[in-house]
Amino acid sequence: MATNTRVSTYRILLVALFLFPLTLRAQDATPDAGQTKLRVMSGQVSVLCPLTIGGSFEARTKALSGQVGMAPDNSKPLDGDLAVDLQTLETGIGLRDDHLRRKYLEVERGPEYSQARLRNIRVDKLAGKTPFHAVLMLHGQTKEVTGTADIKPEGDGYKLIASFPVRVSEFGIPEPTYLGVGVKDEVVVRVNMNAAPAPAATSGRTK
Amino acid sequence: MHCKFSCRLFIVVLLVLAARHADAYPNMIRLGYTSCATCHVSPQGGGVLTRYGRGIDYAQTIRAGEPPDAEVPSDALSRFLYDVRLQMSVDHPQGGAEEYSFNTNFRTAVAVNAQNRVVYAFGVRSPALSLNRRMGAASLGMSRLYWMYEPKEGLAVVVGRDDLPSGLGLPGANSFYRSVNNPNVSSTPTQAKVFWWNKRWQVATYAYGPDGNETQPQFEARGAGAMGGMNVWRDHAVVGLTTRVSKADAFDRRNAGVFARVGFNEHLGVLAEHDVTGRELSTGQRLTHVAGHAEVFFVPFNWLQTALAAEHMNTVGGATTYRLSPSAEVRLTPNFRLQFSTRSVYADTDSRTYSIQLQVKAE
Repeated sequence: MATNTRVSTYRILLVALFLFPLTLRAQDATPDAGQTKLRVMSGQVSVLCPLTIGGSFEARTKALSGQVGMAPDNSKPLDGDLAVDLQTLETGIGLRDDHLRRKYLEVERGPEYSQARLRNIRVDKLAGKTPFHAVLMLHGQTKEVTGTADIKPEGDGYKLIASFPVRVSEFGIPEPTYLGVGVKDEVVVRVNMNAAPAPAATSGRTK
Repeated sequence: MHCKFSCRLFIVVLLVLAARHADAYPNMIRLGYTSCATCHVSPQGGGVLTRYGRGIDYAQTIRAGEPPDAEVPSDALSRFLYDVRLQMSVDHPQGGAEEYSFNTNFRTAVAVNAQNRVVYAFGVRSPALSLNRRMGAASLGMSRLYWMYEPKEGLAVVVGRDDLPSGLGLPGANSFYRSVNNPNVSSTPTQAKVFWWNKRWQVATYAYGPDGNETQPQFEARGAGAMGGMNVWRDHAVVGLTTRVSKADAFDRRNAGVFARVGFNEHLGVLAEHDVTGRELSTGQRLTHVAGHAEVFFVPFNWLQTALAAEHMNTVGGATTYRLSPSAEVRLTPNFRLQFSTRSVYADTDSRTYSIQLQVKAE
């Protein structure tokens, strides 16, 4: 009898030990009521800047990080935020990168300037094309932005492509001009990222 | 023997004509520049740079920096834009002696006011010197003189002497086959043209007449043409059509073509222009030529521009000529550029020429 009890206890312990990591993963993925935390695994942000005289250039970076909680209730904004390191933006011309970062984005003024953040992200649905709303913190200013997103489940995570227009003047950024040619006031931000359930409750950066 | 010399001479002339203009960079499509008008005074490209164009030019060298007038207010009118270029070239034809040439070009654009400019260019070309003989004589020529009126942004009217508009805006691209499908005429005829461009479209229409540089009076051509391009892929691809008709005492000529400028990313892209030309000579002979230029460019760094160009010139029922030209340009500073190229011509007589060119520019 005593032997049977000991065997049962070992079995329970073994099963418990086996299930423990899975329980941990589930807790990581659902820290808040009904929310799955998704972390940015890879991504690229590009800003399409049309020139006043025609043509355009793109400022790009892969320094996109952050995690968001995918709430089952679409009426609530997603928990968490996405951050872009503006100091890594590249346009294809070194001197222009320097002007963009220092003169216009003023990244040396502190974290509020060196990073752009998207918070309170709200989407109508978690699959397919959908409108989205978010709050963009850029150049020390906070404004609501609206755009479209295309969300596709991929593996145990999601692939997201989103774009939204931004008016440079609304964020207090000096009018970008160089030797008589300027960037139009409205630029378009495109976000292309893959997100997967966060393995741990950290906000690591993915470059 | 005499024929051999004539063939060589013909090839040398062809190669000199085909030497790439180092100042036209349609490969800027890789960075989203769909139109030449962003950087050049002339909307069709080439020639004097605008202040912005000069800034971009300065930024794409090993020693990148600000141009001298970077502190001048952005909206200030540049009354006098100019550059002087000295080009020293060494060409080594396969099996032949090295040939040295030295050219000086002065180009200027004078702004009468914000809407009106006068553009002028002339060059002094030295004879090609070789170790065992001296060819030709120094020549001085005015290549461009025109008035340009821009009533509003995206619209320009040009009257005077200039290159005719082309799809790629790369003069060297079609000079390879121009000597076959459009011989004896001037490359910079007197013309009137209208450019219209916006975010989506680029259109040029023109009419032209002789300028006195034709080899014989019967080649003094008059004609008209149009070029239209469309921005089809996020400011990284322009495709379009060209057409031209011309008439002289010696011939009637009709030409139609397609072109594409594509930048796959900031390093890699393709430039291509192909056309079909029908010529009816006064002798009654009818000729049809199919010609083209295709080029893959790779720009690993802004200061190092490489390209592999392939060109062909086929005359239906007649001769066929191909040329393969790998090239590399190193932009040392805003004032110094070094270009290396090889030009292999495959025709009745194959030839290969190695070329090094140093360009010194002041502006």
